[in-house]
Amino acid sequence: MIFWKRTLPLAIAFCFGVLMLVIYFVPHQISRTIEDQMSRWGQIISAFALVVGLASLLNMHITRIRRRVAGWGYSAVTITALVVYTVLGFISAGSAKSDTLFGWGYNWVYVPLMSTMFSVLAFFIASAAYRAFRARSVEASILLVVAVVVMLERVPLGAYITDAIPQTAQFIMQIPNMAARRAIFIGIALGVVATSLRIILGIERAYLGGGD
Amino acid sequence: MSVLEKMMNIDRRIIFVFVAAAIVIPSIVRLNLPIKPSPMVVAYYKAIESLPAGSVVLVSSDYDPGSKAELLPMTLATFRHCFSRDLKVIGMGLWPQGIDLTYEVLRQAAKEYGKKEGEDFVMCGYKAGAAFVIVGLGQDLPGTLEKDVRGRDLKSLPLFRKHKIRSLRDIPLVVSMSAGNPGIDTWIVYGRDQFGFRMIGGCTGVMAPDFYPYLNTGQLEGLLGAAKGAADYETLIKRPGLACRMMDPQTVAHLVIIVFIVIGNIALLSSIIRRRRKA
Repeated sequence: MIFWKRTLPLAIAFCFGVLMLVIYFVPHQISRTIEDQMSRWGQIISAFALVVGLASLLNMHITRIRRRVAGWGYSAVTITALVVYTVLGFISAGSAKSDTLFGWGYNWVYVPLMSTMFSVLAFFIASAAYRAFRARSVEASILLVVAVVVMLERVPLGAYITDAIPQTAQFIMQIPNMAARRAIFIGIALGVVATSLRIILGIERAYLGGGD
Repeated sequence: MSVLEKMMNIDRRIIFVFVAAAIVIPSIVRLNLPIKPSPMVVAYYKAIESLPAGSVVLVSSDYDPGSKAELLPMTLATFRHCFSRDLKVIGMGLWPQGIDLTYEVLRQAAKEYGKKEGEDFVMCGYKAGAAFVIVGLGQDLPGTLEKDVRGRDLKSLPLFRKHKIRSLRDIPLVVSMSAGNPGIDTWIVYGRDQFGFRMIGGCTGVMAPDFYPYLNTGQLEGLLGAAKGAADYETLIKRPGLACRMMDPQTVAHLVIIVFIVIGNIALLSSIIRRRRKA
């Protein structure tokens, strides 16, 4: 059992990890063919991942309903929506055109719901900004001034008042913001390289899951 | 409760009412403030302008309806700009939820400029796999996307036959309308740097700061950030639309938020001064 659950996946991860690393740097036709084949496999595996995700989603929400966990009604809504939309998708033969049932659900239920969720953010951000942007320290004062400048730049009023506002905002975005972003990106990249190496070498095994 | 305490702890419902009014009233009573396009929007515009007529542009719709307000107007403006320059458009998406919205505005723009589906534009729909899809497109574009949303084989369409599109290497410009991952950065890392096409993009306001390093290195030539970016772009292509109309409510809403921030800070400052005097 250990061979199937641990040794074989680790061997596959090592072989394919090294292979993908090598072919990325070898611009030969054979490398390209392998890369092409791998990307097709990747797409197929991604499609299967959707099925695994669906099974996981169902499992989690059915368990919540069965155990009557607080808020289990939302789980019931999730499963009902999943079933209804799957049926509508089959009835509409997968077409989301506005004259199909699935298209109707997409245009008049899903899109307005998503838009509403996103637009509600404006209200919460307004309330949060009022409470958060208080000049209690030097750092908080800098954050406050920067926020106001960027907020003014993000609307035509900024340039209407004075060209200095968009220019200052551009400076903020292109110098301090970019320096911070680059530092974060480099940190992330180093983390990804380290984690990838750990996976390829079999040190990191969390992706194999728990249990025997 | 003193006036200062009231100013420091305004009920959130009062703020909500002011924000709602700030959005509704300017939607009716127009301000029509002049819009000055930012440099990164001008760069986006110039990237499309630089393409010779007949070139093929791939537009990837990497968002869902939650970001519709910010990304759909710029998507429509991009299609209008492409068709006005007689460019061919291949639509696709790394997110499944936004395809239908994009297809709708693609057909709308095509209708306005008398463009034919299959000949001047095609919508290939969603393909699962994100980075794998981009790598696949770099090797074999029609083989990876296979069919358009109408179920027609891409290799049989005049757009693909006439322009001999085999991979991303045959696409001079890729546009990603991005609300997250996979999106602009996925296209840059797995596509642009490997297959050498030019890249521009549009994104939500919160994401825009993430892409400045790519703009600085030239990996991303231009960027439309949120509704303001879309409004700048609509102004440049001389087709003011929804994004330009959104600027008035957004301006007043930002002003309202700034006013509340100022009120909170005046109250904070006054309370500090009062405490010091008492001490």
